[in-house]
Amino acid sequence: MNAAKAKTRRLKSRFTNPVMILVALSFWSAWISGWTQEVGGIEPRISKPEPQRDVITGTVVNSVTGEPVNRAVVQLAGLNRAAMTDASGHFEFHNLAGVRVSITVDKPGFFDERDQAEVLANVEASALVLRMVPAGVIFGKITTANGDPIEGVRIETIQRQILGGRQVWIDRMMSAKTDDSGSFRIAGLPPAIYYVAAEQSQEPTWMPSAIPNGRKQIYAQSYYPGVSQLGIASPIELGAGEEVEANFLLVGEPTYIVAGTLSGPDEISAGVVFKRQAGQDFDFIQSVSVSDGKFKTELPAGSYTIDGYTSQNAHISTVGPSFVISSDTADVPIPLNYPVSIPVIIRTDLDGRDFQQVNDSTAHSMVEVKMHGKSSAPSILNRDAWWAGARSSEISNVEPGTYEVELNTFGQWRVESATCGGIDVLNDDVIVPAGSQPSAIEITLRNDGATVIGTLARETVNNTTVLLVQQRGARNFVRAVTTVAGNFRFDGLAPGEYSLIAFDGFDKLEYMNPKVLDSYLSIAAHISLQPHAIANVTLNVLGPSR
Amino acid sequence: MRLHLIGSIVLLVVLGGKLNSQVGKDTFAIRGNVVDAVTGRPMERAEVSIATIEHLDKPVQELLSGNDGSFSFSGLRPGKYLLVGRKSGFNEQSYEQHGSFASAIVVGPGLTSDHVIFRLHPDSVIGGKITDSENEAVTNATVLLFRRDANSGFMHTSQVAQTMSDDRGYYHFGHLGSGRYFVVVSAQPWYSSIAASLHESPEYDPIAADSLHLDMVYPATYYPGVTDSSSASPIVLNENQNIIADLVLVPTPALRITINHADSFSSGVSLKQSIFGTLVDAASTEHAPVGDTVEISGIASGTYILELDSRSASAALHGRVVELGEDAIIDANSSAVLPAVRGKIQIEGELNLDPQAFVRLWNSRTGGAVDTALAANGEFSFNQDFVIPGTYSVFLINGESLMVGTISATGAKVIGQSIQVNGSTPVYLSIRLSHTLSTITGMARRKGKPFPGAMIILVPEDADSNWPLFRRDQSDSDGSFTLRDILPGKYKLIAIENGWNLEWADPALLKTHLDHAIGTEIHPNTKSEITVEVQ
Repeated sequence: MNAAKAKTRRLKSRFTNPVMILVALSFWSAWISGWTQEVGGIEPRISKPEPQRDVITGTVVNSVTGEPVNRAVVQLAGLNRAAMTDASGHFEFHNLAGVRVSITVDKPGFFDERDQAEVLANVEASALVLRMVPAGVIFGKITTANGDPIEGVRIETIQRQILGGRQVWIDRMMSAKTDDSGSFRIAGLPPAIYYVAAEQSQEPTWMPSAIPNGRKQIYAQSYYPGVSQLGIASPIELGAGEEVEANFLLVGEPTYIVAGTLSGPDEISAGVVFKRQAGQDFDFIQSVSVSDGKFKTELPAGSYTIDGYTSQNAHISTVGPSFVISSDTADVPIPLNYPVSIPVIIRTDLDGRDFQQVNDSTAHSMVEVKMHGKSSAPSILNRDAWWAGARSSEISNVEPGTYEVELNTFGQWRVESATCGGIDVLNDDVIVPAGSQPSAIEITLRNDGATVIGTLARETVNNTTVLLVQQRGARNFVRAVTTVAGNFRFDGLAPGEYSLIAFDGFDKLEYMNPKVLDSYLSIAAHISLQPHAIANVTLNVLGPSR
Repeated sequence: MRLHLIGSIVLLVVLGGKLNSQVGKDTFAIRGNVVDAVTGRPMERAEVSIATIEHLDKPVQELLSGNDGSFSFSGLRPGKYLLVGRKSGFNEQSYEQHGSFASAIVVGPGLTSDHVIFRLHPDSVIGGKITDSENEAVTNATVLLFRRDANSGFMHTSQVAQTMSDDRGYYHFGHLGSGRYFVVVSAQPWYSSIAASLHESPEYDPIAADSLHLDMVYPATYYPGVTDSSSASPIVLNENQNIIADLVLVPTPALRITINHADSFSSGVSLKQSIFGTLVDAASTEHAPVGDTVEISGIASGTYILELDSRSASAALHGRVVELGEDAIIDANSSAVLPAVRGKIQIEGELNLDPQAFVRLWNSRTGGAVDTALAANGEFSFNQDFVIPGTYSVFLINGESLMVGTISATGAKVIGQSIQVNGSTPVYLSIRLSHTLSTITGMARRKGKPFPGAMIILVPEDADSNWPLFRRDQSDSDGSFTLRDILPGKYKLIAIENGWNLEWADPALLKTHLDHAIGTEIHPNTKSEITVEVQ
């Protein structure tokens, strides 16, 4: 039996991680027990008189149904005290010394992450109301076109999340395998928008047909409701506590026997990876061993990118998905090459008087360059590339595609201009074509950047995100920082007009998208910066939008 | 014929037989119909394949059965073919399969293989919901499935599957054959981890914590909701049956074991309990060591085996049986060092073992087995497992064409291929391997006609202490069978028509059959041909 399952080695289940809120018990005011509700930016309220300052009572409720949650465990973490709720969701703590405590609530099947499960403390006649968000479930059945169940398919959930103000699709790492009836069930999901993916089959299976000696077949990765690309898959909007059914069918594909010879700029190491293109993503990936440059494998039809490494551990690949399989093929020659690199040239402009190119190691302490792969459709592939290493004069391993270039300066340096083959990368995307060398990214830095030093008007429990925005039409200039003890700072700002806004929920907002951000800017503070200026600001924090 | 290794203790036998090699230009066919073994109805669109018995896992032809269940494989060379079928709701199975045996279809001149009726046995399911006494779902419970059968030669209850309950407390075991099953649940209440963390806190207040009733545990619970195995109810599963077996777990106050002087064992402390003779990890929570003290909490009262595996170079296993009725404190230093069971494998000439080879001790009465790896020089030591006193058969597994020949021992009594371990004396085994192995090929007949599907048993002399010398097979479609890797000695050969539920290694139960059996003496490195009358 599985030892890891039998022994709970002090690992809490994902359902029962503590959800923290802070409750300040007013030590000195016996009759005005100030329940400072500090989540979500609502101002502190004064409760009705509370005669027993050494008592905490409350109720744990389901945030969706409002029903009490029975047998939830409420803990006062700092005090090492715990209580279990009764059938009416009620709990009580007595003999408290009137100190500041953290309350956590645990209950299987209710969601844990603080950013999802906002356990709000309300003060209603001294009783605390702790809301827990019930977890959702996606379940379904995987069948063949004939309606036969397919067993042993790994089903994954892919969730939309916001990272750095950009929308990304990430694998939730919550998965299930279909059972003998083809059924799967993925529980414990926080409310979110999901795609459901069926992983490619691990082993090819024999493809039964009326003809003896039929081909082997595989199932490529596919998405609910049975499509090969994330971009045309149907998202599932899963509310708190909801159970959503997602049935879909998989279509087996015959494989072809493919043999060939790989050639590269250097000796190719023992294995390469064949990746079949499906929209923005790959839907079938297979490792293939290589001996003296030769390989033989079985693959379904399609266009493949082949990735490998040289014996010097340098990445080599085909130019995009250029290897096409449509039948059995013997001894195809396939050239592999080093992927595209984009040179980076940094120049400095010292107050408009002195222009010079700076060497790589110095340049890296002045500016960082990130290239964000842009996708016209949802994709779980991360096509980002960045300028790595102090001695690197180029961005290596850039796959063909469309990129948004992000430049972050350090100290008083600010970007004066940035171009790539005549394109202003501050406002326009860079297109890296397949199979040809792109132009260098040329950046001019100037050391007259301005600084904004700020404080939030009141202390918050959560770290607050502060955005500094310069509207530029199609693409805003956006800087984001997280406050530390209510303080924040921006350096290296070009002269000009800026908007400033502090918001508790900005870490979950797609603020890099002007359409999303612009509606918030009407309530932002505005600031005008001169070269070398240091501006001090105090910002009010806005609460969650919903 | 014999299939690949399935299930419990089956010796790995490489099927190295040759084709009936009067290979001419003629080709042959296997034709027949797939039918549902329960209803007798033809089964359309079943996946049917054939493989030669030399390459069982590489089907040479595969097809889907027609509307009338028919299938036809043609262009076949003479030889023995394994017929395999499956369909949704019918787990993959071989023609006339019984455990790890099946009847191969033999094709060739003068043999009929035209009207094969391939009966597919439908799957059955055991599933249910696990709740606690508060009627709440028990999630992430470990659910073990045991099956009682005589596949190993004696009636044993052995573990066949394991799963976890889901967020609703549901569990599900699919693809089950008919038989007698037991469901056992091992779980901890979800809130016991909170009890454990409260206990670790420096401000731990035992009175306040105890009043919460969080430090609870579910004892290992057997269907239909009992905590001792003798009261467990077997679930009798027929083919094509879906049985719901719900269980209610009742939490009891948890106990803890404090192990002092555990510093040299901290990487290898484990608590096990015996479920139908199989040692499984007990539901418990092992805490990070504090100084040289290790605590295991969240344990139900009962009997456990506590194993302390030393990290020191001498790698001795300290262990003891713990009867837990209240919290216990154990001093690792005074804990009994188990008498080691060690030994060496030897052979005439150079020892050149497969790296996958290992030594297994198997208690034929309880079904319990312990394994240990072999050093390159053939030395081995059972230092990872507690060898419970008892009588064990000694095996070399994955030894290719090498078998345990003779055993001599200090500290243990040797009878035939068995050793008796008393649990108080260190044991050293000297195992001499044999590669002078013989083969019997033969025909099972009844009244002069070939008899397919019979169980063929080669019973050694002094069968009580020579379980490893038994050999079995199932007769193929032409009545032929093959018994390999036979050690020299005296045997009796029997063929039984309906022997598949028989405790075939129990000489008492075989007695009536043995009275009519053919006696034979097998000499080293020989090939014999014997025709046996099916009883």
